[in-house]
Amino acid sequence: MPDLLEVEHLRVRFRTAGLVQALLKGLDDPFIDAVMDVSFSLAKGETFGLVGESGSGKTTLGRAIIGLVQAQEGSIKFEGKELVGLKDSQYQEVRRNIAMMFQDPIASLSPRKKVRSQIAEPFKIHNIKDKDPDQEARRLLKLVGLHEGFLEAYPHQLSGGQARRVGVARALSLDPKVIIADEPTAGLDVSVQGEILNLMNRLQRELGLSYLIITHNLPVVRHVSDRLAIMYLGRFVETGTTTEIFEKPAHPYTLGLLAAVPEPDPG
Amino acid sequence: MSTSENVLDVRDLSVSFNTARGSLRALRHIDLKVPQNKIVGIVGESGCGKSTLINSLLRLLAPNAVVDDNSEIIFEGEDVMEMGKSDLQGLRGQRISMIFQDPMTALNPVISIGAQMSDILYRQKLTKAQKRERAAAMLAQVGIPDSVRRLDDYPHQFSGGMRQRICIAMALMMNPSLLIADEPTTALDVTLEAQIIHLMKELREDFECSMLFVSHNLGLIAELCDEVIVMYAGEVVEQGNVHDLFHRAQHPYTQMLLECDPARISETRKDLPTISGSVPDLVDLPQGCIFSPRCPKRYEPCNESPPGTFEVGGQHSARCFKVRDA
Repeated sequence: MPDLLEVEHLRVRFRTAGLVQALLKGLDDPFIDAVMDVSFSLAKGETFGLVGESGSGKTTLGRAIIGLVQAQEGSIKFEGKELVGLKDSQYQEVRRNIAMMFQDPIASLSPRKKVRSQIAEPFKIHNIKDKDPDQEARRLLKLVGLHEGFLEAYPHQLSGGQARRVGVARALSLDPKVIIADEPTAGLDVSVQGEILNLMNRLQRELGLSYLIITHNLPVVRHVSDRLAIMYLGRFVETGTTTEIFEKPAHPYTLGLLAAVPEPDPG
Repeated sequence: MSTSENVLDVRDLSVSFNTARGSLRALRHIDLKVPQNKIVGIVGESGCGKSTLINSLLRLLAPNAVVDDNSEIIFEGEDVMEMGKSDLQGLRGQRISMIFQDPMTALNPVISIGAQMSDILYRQKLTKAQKRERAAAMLAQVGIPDSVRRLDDYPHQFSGGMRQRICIAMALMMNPSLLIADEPTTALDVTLEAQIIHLMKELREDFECSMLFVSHNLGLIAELCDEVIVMYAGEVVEQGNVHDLFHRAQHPYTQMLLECDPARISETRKDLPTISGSVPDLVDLPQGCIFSPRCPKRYEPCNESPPGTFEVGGQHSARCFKVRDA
């Protein structure tokens, strides 16, 4: 059985100068490679962690998979179907199956919409009429462990952890098979981080989800990922199972990253 | 310990806010000492009152805040609560300075770094050239290469780590006696975080300044601080030196916080420990111990009255009946 998501030799480039500017400055390659020759696969029910620092291209890779930025070369296959080169309208269908949870739990919610509409919005966007959005919103809230009172709340009334739960509920609304979670625990308190990760783990068991977790927090990915890729300047410098990478890191950059994590023990 | 050794000595500080729902008791009976040349860490989760505490030290509370009459904030022998407007202006940014969480927004995007740094020295009788020289020297000290030329650069021309270095340089421009760092590395990558922490350790030697380091990252606290206070819902629940706190934590909240930290859990596990329940409503406080609704170790006394501070030994104390009865 082929993997759910297969990425091969993916390359994403951004233009750094316009045509005229490039000519004037004599640049023969006015591009920057944000993602370079990246390959990995994600099986059903698996969690793949993408670790890297700011500017390593991890978020760009996530965005390329759901078609928010265009890939220049390589292929992204979802359930065997090629995604690179699809038109935006054709991507709509893909985005029902691959959901994205964006960074910053509060900023990723619209400040002027109640939780009810935030969760029900995907039904409108995808024009789904056979489900009652209101009932679905209630079901999803319950699934992520929030009581119905939150339906009428605005994002500013939520704590970071509650907002993240709403984000999870929204990502789950269309029954996706894959969730791309960009820094799911950033900005959350230590005890709340645990709650969110436990919630994501429970949902994975119950719904058979696959996760692509994008993060720079090594202690967190250690507990949730099956496999890891360490990304640096747009390239995968090391991939392996989580245990392998934590116990026998091979690349000097991985070693550096692991050494930088502050030891929570004063000695 | 006599007061002269403490740069900052906060005694029985209580702050409440008048809200539409009634009085919100944000801080209750806070005792805090920052000894000369030491780094004191404040650990606590969102809503524990860290920011209110910092703002009260600088008398920057919102107009609806009420500070209890018994509260004393003694900074270098003077009571901050008694200070007039001009004294306070001399205090803020000069004797006590601050490093903020987000270096991206702490700097003015349309003014060059050199001008922003010289502006801090506005009270000093120096020529423009001398001020620039000071600014450049400061930048060099925090590890910014080619500092003279970079004075004319704008914040967007620096990376995140560099910007935090600039903020640190700015905070040290006036040679403050107390530096308050409010989660200075949360916005940075791990490798940059390690660099900034290393820099702060170095600067402590060079500047002989005391520091109040606010963070919820226990790893950083363990690495940098000499003493630690743990705050929960507006109270100091435990304080002591860093070894006592990490190795012999007494308060159930501290113990649970340590257990929750993914970095401290060595074996890989999919089910992480959490602290169940949520922070109490500070308008309607529980009758007993503030942590009792979430505490796995509560027993009868906990529901009756709030516990006082009980000594564990030496400078280590906790607000828990278990310590008294131990």
